[in-house]
Amino acid sequence: MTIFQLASLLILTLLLIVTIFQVVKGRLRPVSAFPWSVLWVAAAVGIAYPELSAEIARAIGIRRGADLVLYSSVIAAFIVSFIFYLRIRRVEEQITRLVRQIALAGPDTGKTLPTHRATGNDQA
Amino acid sequence: MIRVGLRWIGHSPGIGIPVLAEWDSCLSTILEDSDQFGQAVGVRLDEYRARTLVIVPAYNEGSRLGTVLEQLKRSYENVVVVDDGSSDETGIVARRAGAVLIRHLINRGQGASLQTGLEFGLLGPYEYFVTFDADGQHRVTDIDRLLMAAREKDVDVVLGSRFLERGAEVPALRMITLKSAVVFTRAVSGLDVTDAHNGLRLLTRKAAGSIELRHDRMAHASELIDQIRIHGLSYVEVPVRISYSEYSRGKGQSNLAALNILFDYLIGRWFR
Repeated sequence: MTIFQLASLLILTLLLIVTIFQVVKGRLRPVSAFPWSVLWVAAAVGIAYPELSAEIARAIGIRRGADLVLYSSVIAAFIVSFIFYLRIRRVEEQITRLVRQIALAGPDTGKTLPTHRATGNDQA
Repeated sequence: MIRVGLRWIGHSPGIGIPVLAEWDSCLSTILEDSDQFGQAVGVRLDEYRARTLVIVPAYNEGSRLGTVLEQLKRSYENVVVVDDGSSDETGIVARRAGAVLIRHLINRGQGASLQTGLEFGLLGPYEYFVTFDADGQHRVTDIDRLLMAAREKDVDVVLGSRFLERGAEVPALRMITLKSAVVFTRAVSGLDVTDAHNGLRLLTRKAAGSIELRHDRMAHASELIDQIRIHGLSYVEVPVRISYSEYSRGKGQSNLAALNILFDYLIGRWFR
């Protein structure tokens, strides 16, 4: 086993342990922990058995195992960015609601300007 | 003053009784000054004005806002300025002009400001809500047009359009972008509007209550059109004039920014 493989596997094992620990501690929900755990394990397997990625790659028509890893990573990165984009939009909306609440709690709210004359005759 | 209702009677300058569809062109050709108009026809325009709230979203408009408010206040007493986190004297100018001031602590965008203005207005006794730009692009007399159209045609929403009148002077590139926006808006929302991004609009209390603008920035214009359709609100378009001064030309939506708005708007529709 190469040094790279050893070091990576060590780090990934650590990450897996930390992830599980966070769930146990209640800081991370199982639903969120699951995809990350899958990622750590998949990365570990891919590094421990490099021929595996080569086989999968050839099976789906990509030339090299490394290419497969690269393409998958890029797609995953796009997806994650998009999810964050949506989340930021939601946060922006929440901020606006907050700012609006504060604004409407200001001194001028509820001020009816003097010229509204209720004529009592709304037929016009 | 004798009330003669909303129809032209014979004594007005040589017009007779126009067909409803010609109403708008009559308004524009006869009289520029609304006070004169009100007196000539005996319509109680000032009554409708008293029940109208003009919402002016403003972000760093500074002293320009003062001029705009001054003109507004001559005809419309109920004006609320939504100061969208300005860092200049916008808020002070608004107060000095006698408008109600609602202040966003942080800049949230024109859409957010309009929604805040509407929510403020719904707390009060107003029946009509008019959105009006702070940079002097709009004419106060056009508000009268919107009001009269709302009364005459009994609709929930009146939209100003700069393309309904002959000879609208719009810078060429801007025209292309705007027309594309119109085509897009029509295709996506299914409503037949001629001017998709006009800041001059009137909403009745019913419309204001049903609509909720969730797009903070410029995509709110398309969102508004959408909501008109979703809530089944009746609407009509009225020709208005936009003045493109040196200043407002520099400040307006860049044509590239329009693409950004488009993206934002589509995401909002599909992923909310």
